[in-house]
Amino acid sequence: MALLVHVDALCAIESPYRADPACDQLFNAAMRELTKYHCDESPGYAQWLASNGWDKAKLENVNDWSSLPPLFANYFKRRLVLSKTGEQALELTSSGTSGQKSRMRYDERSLGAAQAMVDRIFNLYGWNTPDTPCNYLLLSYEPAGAITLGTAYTDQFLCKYAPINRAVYALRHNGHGNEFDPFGVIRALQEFAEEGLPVRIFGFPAFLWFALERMREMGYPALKLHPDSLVFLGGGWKTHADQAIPKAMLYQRLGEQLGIADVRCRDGYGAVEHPVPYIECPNHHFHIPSYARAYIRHPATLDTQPYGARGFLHFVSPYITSSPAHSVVMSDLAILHPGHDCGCGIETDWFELLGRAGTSKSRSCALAASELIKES
Amino acid sequence: MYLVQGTLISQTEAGDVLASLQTQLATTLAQRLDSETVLACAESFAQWVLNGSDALDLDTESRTALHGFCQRDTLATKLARELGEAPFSLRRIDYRSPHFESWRPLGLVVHITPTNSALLPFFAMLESLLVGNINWLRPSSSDNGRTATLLAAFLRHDRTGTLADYLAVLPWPNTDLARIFSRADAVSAWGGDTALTAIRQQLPAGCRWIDWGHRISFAYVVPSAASKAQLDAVADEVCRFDQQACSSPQCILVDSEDPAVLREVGDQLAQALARRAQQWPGLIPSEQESAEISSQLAFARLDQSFSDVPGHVWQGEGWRIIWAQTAALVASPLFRTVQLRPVPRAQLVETLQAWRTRLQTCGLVAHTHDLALLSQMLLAAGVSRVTSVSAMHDGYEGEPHDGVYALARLTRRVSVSFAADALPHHVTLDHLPAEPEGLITQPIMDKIAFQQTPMTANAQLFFRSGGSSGKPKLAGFSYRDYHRQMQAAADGLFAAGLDPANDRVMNLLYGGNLYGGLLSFFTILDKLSAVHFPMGGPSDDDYSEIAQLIIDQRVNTLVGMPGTIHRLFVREEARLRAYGGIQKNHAGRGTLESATA
Repeated sequence: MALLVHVDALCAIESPYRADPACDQLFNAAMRELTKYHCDESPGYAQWLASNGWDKAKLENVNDWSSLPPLFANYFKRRLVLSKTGEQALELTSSGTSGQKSRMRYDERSLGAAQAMVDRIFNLYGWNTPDTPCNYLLLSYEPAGAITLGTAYTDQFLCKYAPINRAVYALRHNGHGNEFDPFGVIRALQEFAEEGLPVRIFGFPAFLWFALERMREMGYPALKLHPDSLVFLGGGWKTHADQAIPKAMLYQRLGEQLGIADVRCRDGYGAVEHPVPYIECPNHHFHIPSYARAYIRHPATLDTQPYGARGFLHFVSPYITSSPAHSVVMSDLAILHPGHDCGCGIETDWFELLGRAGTSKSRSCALAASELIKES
Repeated sequence: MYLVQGTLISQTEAGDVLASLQTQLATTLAQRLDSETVLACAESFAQWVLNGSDALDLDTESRTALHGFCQRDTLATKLARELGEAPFSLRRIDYRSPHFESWRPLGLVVHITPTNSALLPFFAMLESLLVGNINWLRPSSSDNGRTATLLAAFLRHDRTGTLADYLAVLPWPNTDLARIFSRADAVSAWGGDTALTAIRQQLPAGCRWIDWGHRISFAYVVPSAASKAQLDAVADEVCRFDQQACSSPQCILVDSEDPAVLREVGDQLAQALARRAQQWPGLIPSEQESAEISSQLAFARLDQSFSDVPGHVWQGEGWRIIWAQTAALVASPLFRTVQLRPVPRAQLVETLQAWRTRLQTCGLVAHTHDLALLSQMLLAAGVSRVTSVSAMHDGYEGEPHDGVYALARLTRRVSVSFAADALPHHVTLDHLPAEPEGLITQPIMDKIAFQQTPMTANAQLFFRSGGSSGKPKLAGFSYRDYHRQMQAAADGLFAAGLDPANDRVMNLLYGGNLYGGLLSFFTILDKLSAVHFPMGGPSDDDYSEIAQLIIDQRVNTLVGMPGTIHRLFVREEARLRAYGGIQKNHAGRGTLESATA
């Protein structure tokens, strides 16, 4: 394993939203170190930099990483891009259909770094409760065999912050695939309310929405889950009819129908191509943790955009050694805001998502998952 | 805006429009719509739309397009080309068999039209009306009553008042299409995969699905034939509609495997685009479309570092060429983005296989000696239209669309069969046509008036009269008119007893000169597929060769002038009595008579 002292130091920062010159300095040093590492260890990467007019020497004076030539998240759907440590590493995929899946490899260092970021954010918000058993509703794919799907991996990982009393999956495995089980979800919620333990609900928002809709249509009375319950969502906000679910309304309905306070309903943004956790603050804004930086790139020119302008969401983070994915343009459009515009007290920038970029048949997790919802 | 019975109705006043339309259906289906009614209405509308349609707020381009499409000749030609002459006549498939076939309307056709073409809904409705269907239109949300207004204006030109039963516009919610589909015989829908799939799921079982999906077109370039002018033409077609049309080239496939050749074609095409792009006003891509273009360019550039596949990106003001050295047809993010790929001709069928159902036009750049061969290969690969590269967006009257004649999809082919002896002399089972409107008020044309009427430019075939009542005159016919008459005469001979299955006919009519007109019997017997011995009348009084051939060839039917036939029987009485095989004479000279000997 290569010695990457600055990378290790950055990833070891305890406070996940530090914003100060020392932190910036460490970030720059880690980026330099990791970029050089990929020049040596990742076939094609040095050439990629060279074809964009970059080389190792140019890295020395960089403090603004917005122009570091990025890879594109959707490019991982076309090609597996690896460093030497990625060759034998764990492979995770996105949940796209037929040949449209992103494939990524995570060595232990990289996966550990991303997971440690989640640990620190869970600690910050007091969600790490090893002494309080919880009931889990996992709005994701029930595994059948080894997990390679990124979302399923994440949801299982998230169960480590509180002991599992019982876990129920919403997308049950039926022998040949996964199928949304709305009655099972509703029954689980009713039982969880009776049992009285805190409940943790993780996964795709669309399925939670469908469950709440079904409960209302069937005239079920509102439930009162334990006040320390937590909803932590991730993935698509589209229904099978391609209609966006209004986030604020979902949170309001969670309050009305399950008794979960708004502040304990959070959304997370991340992807198999870039698993750095972007987790909503109490004001429901996605702040950038200290281990990463975000930029907005113009849709046509790819020029870096100022705060408030629309464009591709571009992340830079030196956490990953198994693939040169430390500068990645996501397939989403977004706007970047300065930290203090939020008001929650976190000083790092935050971004506002505007939906998928591009008109081609780019299949996100949500679209594939939404195909599993049966019309009643 | 609804259109029901020729009346425009606002959304709020619509009430249960669907129920009343459904109640009316059986009555309308029982009627028969004569295409002449549609042609007459369209002709009148075409004149009006060009001159007096201010109220409709149409731009000049739309008026010209409507005028062009609604021309009587255009529509009549379309009908004849796609379904044949007299398509709705219930007619024997040939004179020898008792099977009758015809085209018939499907019945009720519901049309679902796209947002991207303003006049398409009107054209789709008119086309389907032309073959006699009842048509309900579910316009796109962006139609805003435009097509209903246009159809209402069209219906004002229908002097018979019958067409109003055949056209309705129902702005119906997307999620409830099943209700307007419930009585439909066919649904004709336009759009992309997702939209079409969503519509198709709502079709009742057995309902005919007429889909008009998105298509992909490309140029195929033989590198040694790629002159500057040819590549300029490719560039023009790329820029003309910013690749938004289904016939626009998205991809340039090159007949070579050599990366150096591909790079050279790319260089030259880049120069052509640099020369030509400025000539065409460009369409500005939206944020989403820009993002798609940027992503595709990034993928191509990344491939050049992270894969071994040779490639290059050329980029200029508003255009770009993406070369990757992989044999494939790939969709472009459009807006003057050209995908350049190697596909040697031997690999065409295999490479295009995945795209077969979506292929449309191939613009061909090749040497003259290659044109026929490559056309055949492209058609075999699934392409439905091959053109010169400068004509990818052009069309011609009556051209098939996406591999089909539209009218054949909008009709059904029907048959009636009885025992051979049930209606032995009927060629058709048609109703007698109604008397043409206003016939009674027309003066009778006499011979002088006819001769004084000048022939039109349509005349192609000129018959000279016998001149028995003065100087010989010419009568000119178009081939279309000529063949209609000959078909009618063939039907007449059949009705009079000529049996093409068994009769052997000798034609004794003189040809040319004075009796030139009677040459036409050749065509009549041809149409009947009768066994035919063209003999001509004798030049003197010697009928022996004629009699010999009659006997040798077992001729049983004679066609000729009464005088000729009379002389034949007088001169060869003994031999013909001994033969005794002549059963039918058809004598003609200006009038047609039938006799049996």
